[in-house]
Amino acid sequence: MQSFSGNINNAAAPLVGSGQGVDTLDEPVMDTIMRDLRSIWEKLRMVLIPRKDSKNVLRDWDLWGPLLLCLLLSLRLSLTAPESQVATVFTSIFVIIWGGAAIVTVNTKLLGGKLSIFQTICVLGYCIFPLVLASAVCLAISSIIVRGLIVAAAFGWSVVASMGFLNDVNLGNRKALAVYPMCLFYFIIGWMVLISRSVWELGSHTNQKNA
Amino acid sequence: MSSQQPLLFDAAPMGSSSVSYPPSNPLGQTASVSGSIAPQHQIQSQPLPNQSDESIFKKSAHPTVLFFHLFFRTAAILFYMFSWLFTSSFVTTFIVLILLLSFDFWTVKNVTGRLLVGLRWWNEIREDGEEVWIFESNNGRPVNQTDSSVFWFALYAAPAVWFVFGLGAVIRFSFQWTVCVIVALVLNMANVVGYSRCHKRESTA
Repeated sequence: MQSFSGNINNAAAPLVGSGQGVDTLDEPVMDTIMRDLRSIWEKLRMVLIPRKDSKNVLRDWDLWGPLLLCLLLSLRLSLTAPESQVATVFTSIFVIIWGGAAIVTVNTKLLGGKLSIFQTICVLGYCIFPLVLASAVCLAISSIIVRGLIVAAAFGWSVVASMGFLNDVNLGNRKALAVYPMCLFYFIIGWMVLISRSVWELGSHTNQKNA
Repeated sequence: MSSQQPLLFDAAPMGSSSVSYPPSNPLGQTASVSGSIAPQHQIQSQPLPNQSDESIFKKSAHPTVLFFHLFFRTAAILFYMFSWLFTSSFVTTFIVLILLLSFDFWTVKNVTGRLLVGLRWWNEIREDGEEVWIFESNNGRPVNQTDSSVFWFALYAAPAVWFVFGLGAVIRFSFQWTVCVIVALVLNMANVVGYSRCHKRESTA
């Protein structure tokens, strides 16, 4: 891992990449905020509708999108959780997402993946978006079969989206070794969405096991 | 008071580090004085302006930025300690804390670092896919002493406080609060490591 140091005011310093040139030293704060927000939105759209040039967007990684999606999912799943488990569900989803992303990333790096650690975590985090949408939709659906179909579709969408980003040339024959943990990761999250309750089931369903 | 006047009107330059009087000019010329020194009429009636009874916001060159540098970290720590006063739901507390910590991380990384001490750090991916960390420092411009000390103090003090909270959470075997403290530590330490490396390079450059 290389690192460079230099003078901020040195206009001759090579600064390739995402908008972090010398002109951002004195920019107004609102500009910085809007730039970051637009970047997050751009990546979310990229997950929903994968395009050919999606790899370039990846170079400008950020972890705000994954954090936001993680919070949304944790909040949604803890909303309809049984009273005594609300805090546990929230924290567990949070830990599962970040811990799972970390483990899948380490696995991919150990197999010789070319993307950096932060890029991989960024991709995994953003590709949770279809599952978050599915969980929001499942708030209103109590039929387990319909929920199963929706979650399965979202799971497939997440896996396809993340495989599109992580299509590493270095992996070759060992691609399945990298893809399997990723599928497992999304499967676990999809399962948590599947077994969550909808708003219709909230009031009437008493938790007899805890009585 | 009057005994100070001959001293202040002395044309010889003073030894204070933030003052730069040209030796031949009388004290009346305040144009060359840095922003933290009071104008001439105040010097006649008050003690030297670098006294500690002045608020740090008056001595700072960027008081708004300094305020925000301190605000989010202190708010996060206080909310962690006193959340039971506001809400009984852990989820709400966690979300508010995460938001405060994220705002703090973003503010310190993108705004207060470059404005208060002239340092900046980030990560870049080159075209060939290589990952590079970049640390930049602003060797040219002078840095306000108050800005600098408050910046570094707050930068190091907050993770220390969160570490103590973490010990408390672990001793209580509280899973949820431990996760909360771990998130806080990760976000704070990221800035500590980034800015320390900037600073080290600046002083060895």
